[in-house]
This record gives sequence, structure tokens and C-alpha cells, in this order.
Amino acid sequence: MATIIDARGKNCPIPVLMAKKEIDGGQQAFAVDVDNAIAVQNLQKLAQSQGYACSVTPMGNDFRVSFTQSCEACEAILEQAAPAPASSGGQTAVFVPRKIIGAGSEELGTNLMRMFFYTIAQGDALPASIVFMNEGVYLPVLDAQVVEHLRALQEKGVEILVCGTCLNYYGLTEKLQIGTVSNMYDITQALQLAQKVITL
Amino acid sequence: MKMEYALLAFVSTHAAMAAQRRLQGQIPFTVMPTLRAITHSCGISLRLAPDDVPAARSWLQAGGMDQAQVRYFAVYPGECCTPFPFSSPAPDSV
Repeated sequence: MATIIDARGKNCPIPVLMAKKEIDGGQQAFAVDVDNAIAVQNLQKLAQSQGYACSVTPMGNDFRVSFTQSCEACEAILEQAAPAPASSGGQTAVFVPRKIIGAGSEELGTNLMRMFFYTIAQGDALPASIVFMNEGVYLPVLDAQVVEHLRALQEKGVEILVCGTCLNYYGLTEKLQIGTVSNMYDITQALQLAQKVITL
Repeated sequence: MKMEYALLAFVSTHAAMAAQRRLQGQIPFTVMPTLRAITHSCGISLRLAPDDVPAARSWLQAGGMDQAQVRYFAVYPGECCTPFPFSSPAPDSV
């Protein structure tokens, strides 16, 4: 009998975290009941990223989002047919709370930051998301080289999240060149869903 | 085969950053890690469009940076690296 999780009345990112817990626990089929469309969308994204088939059934004002793990035989066939996508990267998130890498020399740290983004933009194992907070938000605003690398990463499907409160604090909101103005809910969700978080 | 980009490699980190200060606002460049095939060089390189290299060399030489401190490379797709094919020898430092 499939598990049904009642996540109605719970705010983001709780429904997604509850679903992730089932997935991590090896559940092959379960459903999550939610009361808003945003939660439905986020659950669908989660299903897709974790290799689950997903269907949505409206239930009055609420929604039942069903997760079903694809059958093993199918997976074996699919695995032989296509190599793993380059952008899966094991669901890595990069967390950037500073505008330079390390301490000691601001000039060196700025260069290191530019070279870091250059290198990952050129590589095959891409992170799922890159998150900027506090003074890190200066990078997608003011650093032309980093912006260019972020643009290339975004085109390949990497999510760029920039803390809205931080942009506001520094008076930079209008000047954001790349990325989504984000909030603590989406940022914590991105960091918690990642299997690995690289903090610069 | 068409040159993909030019790479400027430096003898020291300080030379790399001095070059950046010199070229900033004059010649467009991107900071990149030095390609592995290039040895005896600091880890910070500058990537330039091939057409910008002669002008960049003039700027750097006018700032006192000579061949001992910076080397110019041509990078072709999938290959690194050959010396940059300048059409004329380096002018004397100003």
C-alpha cells in the first residue's frame, strides 16, 4: 500500500523535504498531498531530478502528487541507451557568501573567484545550482567576467539564485545582471536538496 | 585551423595582476587558470581575442613588461599551445 503524506497547510520547502525523505528511504511509490500549485511544481521538479515518474490529481482545492519509481528493467535498458546527462553533477550546489575566495589579498581573491567560475563553466560536471548571499551578490551584479561565466552556466541549465534581501540591503536590486532574485525558502531548499554543497 | 584564443602566461602572480591593471579598460580580457601544458608559469593567465594581442603587447611593453615576464601563446581547438604568431618582432621598450 503506497504511503500518502499529508503536506497540506505546510509551507515551502516542507512538502519537498517530506518527499525527499521518502525517496531517501527507498520508497518506490508514494503520494504527497499539498494545497498550493507552487508546491506541486516544486514536487514535479524533485520527481524529475530523482528519476521518479510523477502525476498530479486534483482533489477539490488540494492536489495529490504521486511519485512512482521507474521499473528496474526499464532503467537498465535506458541506461544502456543514453549516457548520464552532463548536468546531473550529483546534485551539487555552490554557495557563495563572499565576493572573493579566501582571505589575505582581495586582488588575489577576486582573481580566484573569476577563475573558479571560468573553470566550472568549461567543465562537464555542472552544479545544479549556484547561490549568492551577503556580499556574494556583488558578483552577479558588478563582475563582468563572473557574469559571463554565469550566463554560460545558466544556458546549460544551472540555476542561479541571488538573495533578494541582500541585493536590497546593498541597493543592488536594479543592477542584477544574471540570475533569479531569490528568497530564503528557495535558497534553503536548493542547499538541502543537494547531495554536496561547495562553499566558497 | 582557426586560433580559438590567445593566452598570456606570466612568470609570477604579481606580473599577472600588474598586466591586468595595465590592460583594464584598454583591451578586453578574461582571467583563466593557466593551461596544464604550460609550465614555469604562475597559475593566473589572461585570455585574449587573437586580434587584440599586438595591441596588448604594446600596452604591456609601454608599462615596462618584457618577454622575461610574459609569454604569448596561441590556443587552437583541442590543442595547447604554440607561441603566438606575431607578424612583426617585439618593438623596443619605450
